[in-house]
Formats: sequence, C-alpha cells, structure tokens
Amino acid sequence: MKQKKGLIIGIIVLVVLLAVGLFAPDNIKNTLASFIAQDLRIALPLALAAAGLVYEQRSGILNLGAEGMMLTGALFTWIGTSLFGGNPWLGILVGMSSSLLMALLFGFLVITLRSNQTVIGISINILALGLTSTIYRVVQSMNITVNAFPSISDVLSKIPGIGGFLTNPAPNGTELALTEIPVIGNFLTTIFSQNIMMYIGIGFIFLLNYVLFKTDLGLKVRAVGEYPKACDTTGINVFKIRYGSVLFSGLLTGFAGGLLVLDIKTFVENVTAGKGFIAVAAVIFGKYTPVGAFGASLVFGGAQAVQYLIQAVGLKAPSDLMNMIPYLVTVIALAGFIGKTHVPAALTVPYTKE
Amino acid sequence: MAPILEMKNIVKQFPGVLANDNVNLTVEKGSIHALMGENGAGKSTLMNILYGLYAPSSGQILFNGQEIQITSPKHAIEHGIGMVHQHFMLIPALSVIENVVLGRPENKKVLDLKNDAEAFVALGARYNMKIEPYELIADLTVGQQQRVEILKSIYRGAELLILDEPTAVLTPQEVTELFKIMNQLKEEGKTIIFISHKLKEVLTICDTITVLRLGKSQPSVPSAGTTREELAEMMVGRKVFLNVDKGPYKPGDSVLRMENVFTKGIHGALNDVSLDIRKGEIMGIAGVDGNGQDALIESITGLDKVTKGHIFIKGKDMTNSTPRDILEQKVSHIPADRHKRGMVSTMSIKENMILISYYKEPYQKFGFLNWKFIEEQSEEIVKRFKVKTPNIQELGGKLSGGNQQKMVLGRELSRDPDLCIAAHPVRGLDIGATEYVHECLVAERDKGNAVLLVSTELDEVLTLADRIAVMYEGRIMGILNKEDFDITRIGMMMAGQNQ
Repeated sequence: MKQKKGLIIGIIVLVVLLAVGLFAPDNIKNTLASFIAQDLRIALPLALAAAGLVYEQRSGILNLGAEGMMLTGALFTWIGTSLFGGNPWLGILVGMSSSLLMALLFGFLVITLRSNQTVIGISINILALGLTSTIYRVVQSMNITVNAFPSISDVLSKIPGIGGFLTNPAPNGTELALTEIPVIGNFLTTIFSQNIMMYIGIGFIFLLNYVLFKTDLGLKVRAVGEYPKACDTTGINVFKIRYGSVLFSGLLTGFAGGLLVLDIKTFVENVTAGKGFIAVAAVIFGKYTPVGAFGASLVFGGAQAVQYLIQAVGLKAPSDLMNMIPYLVTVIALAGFIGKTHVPAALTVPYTKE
Repeated sequence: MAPILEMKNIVKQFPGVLANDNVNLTVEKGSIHALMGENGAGKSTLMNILYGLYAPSSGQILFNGQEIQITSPKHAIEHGIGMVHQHFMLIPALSVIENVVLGRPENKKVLDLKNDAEAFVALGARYNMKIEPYELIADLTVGQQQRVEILKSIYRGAELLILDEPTAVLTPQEVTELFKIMNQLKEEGKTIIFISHKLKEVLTICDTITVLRLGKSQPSVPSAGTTREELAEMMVGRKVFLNVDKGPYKPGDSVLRMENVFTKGIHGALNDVSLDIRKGEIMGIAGVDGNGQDALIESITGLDKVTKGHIFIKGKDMTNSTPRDILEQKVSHIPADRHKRGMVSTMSIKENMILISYYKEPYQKFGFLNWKFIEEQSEEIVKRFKVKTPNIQELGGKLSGGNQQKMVLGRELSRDPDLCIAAHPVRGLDIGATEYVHECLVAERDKGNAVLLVSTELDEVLTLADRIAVMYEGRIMGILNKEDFDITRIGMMMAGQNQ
C-alpha cells in the first residue's frame, strides 16, 4: 500500500508534465523542460549516494561520514580523470577506490572496533575535508582536462542498424529523434537529452530496490539492521553483511562525488557543500528505500533547480538567499517527516557476538 | 527407545566461573524432557552449547548415536536441532514468511516466497494454526509469535526442539494451546527439551526431568511419581516451603484510591482505571506483560501524567503530584526494572541506600551528607534483609540479581511504607530469594500496610494476593475476591474477554 502511494504520486506528476508539454505556451514549456533536466542532473548524485546509504542504514550502520567520502571521491575522480587523459570512466573508478578506502576505515572502526558511529562519521568528514583541501593545493597546478560522459544521443547513434532511426545529426554532434514528434517534441528532447550515466544510474537505482526487497541478499541486509542477534542464530554472518553494505555504500558515495566533478568539469574545495548530508536526509525522507530516496532527491534537487527557474523568469532575488533554498527544504522535509517512518531497529547499535 | 541426544561430561569454564561441571544429559527420542534449575545453574549454558553458540571446554555430544561437533547455530539446524529462545528470534519489521526463510542456505538468489508461504500455511494447518504468511511479526500477539517460532524450527527440519521458558509470556489458555502442540509433536516422533522453573507445568507436560544445580546435573527422574516439593528440593538443595503462611485477612481503611484514571502513557495508556487498595491487603495485578501494568505504576508514582481522573493516597488528592511528594506520603516502590529505576549499578550499596532520602535530615545537614549515620543505617539494612556482600562499599552492580533485589527491597521497606508497590519483585530470582521476598511482602500486609503486587506470574499472584485485578490493554477487566480466584476465568480476562 505504501509503495502504491509513491506510484500514484509519480503517475500524477507525469500526467501533469504531459499536459503542460501538450497544451502550455512555448515559453512555459521551455522553462519547465529545462527545470526538469536540471533537477534530474542535480538529483542523480544525491540519489545514488542515498541508495547506497539505504543499504548501509538498513544493515544497521548510520554513516554520517557520507559527505567526507563523497568529497574524497570527487577529488580523486578529478585527479584520476586527468591521469587517464580525461577519461571519465577510468577517472570515476579512481574516485570510487578512494572512497572505498575511507569506507573500509569507517567500517573497521564502527563494526570491528564498535566505536560510536556518529562520532566516527563526523571525524571522517573532518578528515576528508582536510585531506582533500591539502592534496588539492598540491595538485591544483596540474593541467587537467575533464571529459564528460557521452550523451545518450551519441551512444544511441552508434548502435548499428537502429542508431540512425533513433537519432538525427545536429550542429554539435547528434540529437534525439524525439524532436520530430509534433507539439511535444522539443519539450521531451530537452528532458531526455542527458548523458548516458543518467540512464544507467536511474536503472541501477530501480535494480537496487528490487535486490533489497526481492532477493535473499536484500532480506539479509534488512534483517541484520533490525535484529542482528536473531540473524546470528539462523546462521547469517552479521559482520559480513555489515561490511558488505558499508563498502558498497562507500563505492556509491565516491561515485556520486565523482559525478559532481564530471558535471562541473573541475574540482573546488568542499565541492560537495553538504550534499552528503542531504543524501542522508534523502534516505529518511525516502523511507529507507532506494526508489524513495530517488524521489526525495528529486525534491531536494528541485529546490536547487528552482534558482535557475527564478533567474530564467527574470525575478531579482539575492543569490545567497537562493542558495539557501535546498538546505531549507531539507530541514523542513525532515522536520515534518522524522518519526513517521520505521527506522531500522538496530541502527547505530554495534553488534557483539557473545 | 534409543536416545536421540546424549551430552556426556560437558564442562564449560568461563573466566572465573565453572558454568557446567561434568553435566550429563540423556534425552529419549519422542519424549518431552524437562531441564530445570535455579538461575545460574547452567541450563542456558548447556543449551547454548547444544545450539552451537558456545564451545564446550570438554565433553562429548552424541546425536542419534553419532558423535557430532556443533560449532554454530547453522550447524545445529543442519543436524535437526531447533531452538525457540525466551526472547524470540523473530524480526518484527519483517513478515512471517520472510522470517521463516531468513538465512536458509537453500534459498534461491531471488526469493520465491510464494512457494514457501503455501508450504508453511499447510504446515500450520496440520497443527490447527491459522497462518497469515504476509502479516508482519509486529502485528501478531506474543502467543502467535511463539507458535511461528516453533513452526519455523519444524519447517526447517528440526527433530529436536529446545523450548526456553516458553510459558513465561503466555496466558493460561495459550499455555494449554502450547501443550497441545507439544503433545502432537511428540506423537509425531519429535523430541522436545523444555526449560522451565515452573514446577507444576513441568510435572504436567514432561516425561523425564533433569535438574541442574550449581553447574552439576542431578540424576534424571521420571515426572510420574515426583512431587513439586521433591523437585524444589532438588533445585535448591534444601527443603523449600512452597506455600506462604499468611495471617487472617482484615482489610482496613483505603490507602490508595484511583478514580477513572486515564493516561496517554509512554508505555501504553491507561483507560478508565478505578482501583481501591486498603490497609492490610495485597492487591494483585494479573495480566500478560505489556497490558498497562507499567502505566498503572507510573501513574501512581507520579512518573507519568494523568490526563483525566483522580488518585487519592490516604484520602489526599495526589493526582499529578511530583514523585517526591508521592513518596513522602509513605509510598515505596520496588520497580520492575531495578537497573533502570531501582538502583544505580555504578554506585556503592550505601549510596544506593539513600537515593530516596538523601535530602532529609539526618542524612544530610546544610548540604553535607552525614556518612556516619548513612553507614550505620546501611549496615543495619544489609543485615536485616540478608544482602550477601563483603561490605557496604561494594558497587551495586557487583551484587547478584537476588542480592540487588534484596538491597532495593531493604531500602524501600525500611522506610516503613503505608503503601508498597512491588512490580515483578521476584523476576529473575531463584527459589530461595523468591521465598524471602514473598515473606517480606506478606509481613508488610500482616503489619497492616497495603501492598500492590504486579506480576505476570499468575501462580505468584494467586498465592499472595487477597484480591486480584486483571488488566488488559490498559483497562481493568475486573476485580476478584479470594473466593472467586479461578484460573480459567482469570485467563479469559487476561485475553480481554469481559466477565
């Protein structure tokens, strides 16, 4: 029933969008389309980080160090990309390896040594902020070129046989053949013209949802975060599941950090600017499900994208005030939401085998 | 018949404690075998060894005639040994069927819950249990959860089932249901080890009884022909008086009167509770755990806000007074959870003794504690209430459970209360300590004071109380006088059926 509710909201949103695309005047259509495209772009890193954190929290580990892991991933993606001649794929792998190491440290401290998860999480952030800033100052003089992931139209155009049917040549490369659809074509093109990672990422989030709720592994993850002792007595290795979740989440937060860098094509100090914490908020707002966290990320992303919307409409507002919006929305969403959802019973409780 | 299980010369040495000292246990196939003993006698250690949670220091386990090594619960399950723990190993946030298949090695990567659900429902039907496989465990009653646990073990192939104090959480009717299932399992050739300290139940359901005392096993006895007194003596090592001697019932004036009390409650709410307790009587509160007993005590002691209604203590309206004001009306409180509310583990005995009175003279003068007086008093209470301790500087947490309870009891009763509220006063205590606590409570009553006794052990309430109020979901289902005490009737009321 709960999942149905999300589905209904999703369908309503789509119907409204379709109606706007069909019947609204051109300027509104264009503004909305670019707003949605922006929203998706901002939401994807949040959603991927949050999806990993869902697994981590479901297994009983609260990772407040997500921000730091994301930041580490961002820096090393930037460095990695330049090492591999601007290749984003290899670059992001370097970024993921760096956050994996961070996650390993975090996991060792909170799982094996049973340290306080909140304290260690915060320490990881401080460590990461100092570490990335220092390394950045050393390497910032490097000549770095960052290439973005290929766009969906470029990828589709290369598929033999149907590539030419799905895409059309355009002044700067290719564009989706969606433009040919009457009335709504441009509207859709703006929304769907994303890079390939957007499609892979969203698909992956739905896959993670499926794994969490339909597979044996997912059941174990959910059980371990509720009542680890009961899991132990049925022969589940609690430590293995928790380490697995922490490391997997580490990979995804690093990946999310990498996406930020590849999006703006450069690294700046503290580039994450609280996005790791917003991802933690998205986990709660999304009721501890990957798809829910994606929805929450769209809400938070929308709060940021609204800045561009306001600029586009020509409204004059102080930019500092505008920058506050996503954080304000996070606070309000959580304040209205916290306590209304089931929190994994063993969250933050270290497990000791007697 | 051949024995299904033989545990031979099992020794388990913990640092400083010899928990199992050459224990021998032989269980016949297709029997119900009781394992009895006081707290700390080594029952749990022995069963944890059998279930693979502990490794024995030495000894031999034969299962179906073959020697086996059990190194983990997984191993035990593979051999066909299942265990229903006292605290269920079920995950409330998951559905019944998810709990059943959790951790099974034969699960496919993508779960096929539908198949398992059908098979599990069919299994339930065999034992007259209706199973809703997709319902959350959290939505089931305690009795239903226990039945799911038992079925889960059977479903996963258990031939030998260990039931750890299974009746502690059940109403009498649910106990009858459980015994029916146990007998059916026995008829089908399954073997059950029944851990309990309830003498009557063990004699009713079990075929053979093994008693552990101080880590050693006593020779097993058949339950036919054994009496309760003999069993108690085997457990304690001396004669025990199971019946409490009480003076005649002479109720006096009202000490505590509750009129239509409602609370919102942190631990469940109270719903229109009216109660009257008089001098010289023990009012027993019966009910399954979690049916408002905590809320009742919290409302009387001022720990929770009364939203509607009134509470009078000795005729004085004390509704929503502070806990200190209430205690000063000569009310004493022996809390259910002594570690949370009765004592401070990291403080010494003498400090624990003054937790309630430290601010009064002569305990303090001008803000300085009068240690000489406090120490004298503490020594006296320790002596009078037989708290076993090297000295009064010992930390409260270092005492055994029974002695901690005696310490709390001593502090509370030495304040000479008019009303004594005792919540689960013998929970976790062995027969010897239980006997002593009961004597003390009865002595209060015979002195002409009022006692409110909350307990989930129906036998305890039935023996001690002069009147019994039965609670269900925050309401009082009815108050019975001594001549109306009847297990069936009380059991129905505990299950929420109006009388």
